[in-house]
Amino acid sequence: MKRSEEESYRDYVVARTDVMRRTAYLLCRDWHTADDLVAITMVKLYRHWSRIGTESSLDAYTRRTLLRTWLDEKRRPWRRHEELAETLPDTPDPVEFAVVSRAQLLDLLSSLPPRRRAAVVLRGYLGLSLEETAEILGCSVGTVKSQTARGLDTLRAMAAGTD
Amino acid sequence: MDKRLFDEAMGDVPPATFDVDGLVTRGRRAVRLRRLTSPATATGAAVVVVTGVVALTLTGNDGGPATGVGSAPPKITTGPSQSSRPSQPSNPTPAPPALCSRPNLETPAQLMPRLRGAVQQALIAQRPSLGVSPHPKAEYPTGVRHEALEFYQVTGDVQVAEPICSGDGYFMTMSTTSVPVEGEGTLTVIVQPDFYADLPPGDCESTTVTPEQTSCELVTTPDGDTVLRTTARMPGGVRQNRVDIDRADGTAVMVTVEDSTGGIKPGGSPTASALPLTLDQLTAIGTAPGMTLFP
Repeated sequence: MKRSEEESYRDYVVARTDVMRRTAYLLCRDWHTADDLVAITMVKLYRHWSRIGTESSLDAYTRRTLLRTWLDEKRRPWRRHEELAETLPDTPDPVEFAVVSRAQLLDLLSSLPPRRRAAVVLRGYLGLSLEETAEILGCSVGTVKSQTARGLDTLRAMAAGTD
Repeated sequence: MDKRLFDEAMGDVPPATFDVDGLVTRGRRAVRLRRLTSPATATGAAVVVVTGVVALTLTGNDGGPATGVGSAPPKITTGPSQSSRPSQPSNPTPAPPALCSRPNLETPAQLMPRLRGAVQQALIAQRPSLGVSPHPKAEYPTGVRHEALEFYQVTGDVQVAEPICSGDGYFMTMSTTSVPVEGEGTLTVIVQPDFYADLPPGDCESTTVTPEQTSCELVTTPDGDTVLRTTARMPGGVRQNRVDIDRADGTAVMVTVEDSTGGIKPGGSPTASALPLTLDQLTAIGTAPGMTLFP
């Protein structure tokens, strides 16, 4: 990698590390694991920086890599204690969760299956569109839309259970 | 539910356990090593290797300190060009070696203290006058400080009580070195499987060679270990000797020393008048019998 490219990589990492760490934490609920996920993602990014460093879709690439790194981790045989979901929810209404405390919010999030949790983080925390979320998670927009109600029902039921 | 709610729920964010310099170092290594797994690189190497190889014995004349007492560094061979690499089959999809199928593999819990002993023995053999003490950066996770030569797992998914082949792992130790009169430096040793992360060593033609790099050569030991030996001098004057070893059994070992307790960061100042170990000594340490995932 050329020195100028490496400088731009450094700038990008510095600028994105905070939000990436927070995103990773929302997925895994452990700061050390979050750091590992972000570090792995950024090293992968370094390897391809010469090709993608100037792409407008760089952020999307980074998010996708982080998500896949985390999902890969979840698929390891000794970590198969969570059920993978085929469905993706839309973002819930803030009013519906007004009674949920901050800590309960994270607990609720953790209780979602990995892909559903990823969808909530992508849409709710990163503010991505349905299209962007579907692209990162590798499913169609139609699938995302059609499964929205089911996902929200799941979250509503869990929120009700915290009362 | 929006970003603000999540941020409030997360509360205070602890300091990161990595920094951009470390990511760049790991990235350079990954790129360098990745090149060797690509068919294109293997083809290029095959063209180079037909010119033949010559054998040589390294005796420590590489600008580092005199060896003094210690076991002889291994005899190694190198290609006619310092930047060439012997041909070897390309391996675009690394897979666990046959050794992973043998019973009673070590777990990280067993591996890490054994590696500590192996490094300690190798250091005594190579430079008995070298002192080691805890390094201020040997802290992982945050708040957990490690003793001199103590190995700890930084990343990877192998569990501490699971066999070493059950997942990737990155085991490192970082220590402050001290030599009378010369001063203090840094010794870092990293051991990891090379079959999960594209980790055979690279070559001197790699695009990751930086302007700070002052020398590079790729050598092969009689045991079939390939060793990428590099030196670097950073802005500010800090120097580094480094070996990246791809052991024949599937273990990747990196050993580095700097003449600064601050590591290899640009802008740092040397805290020693000489590097604590030569490339030959680093090679001997990294290829010591115990420096493997498969003892």
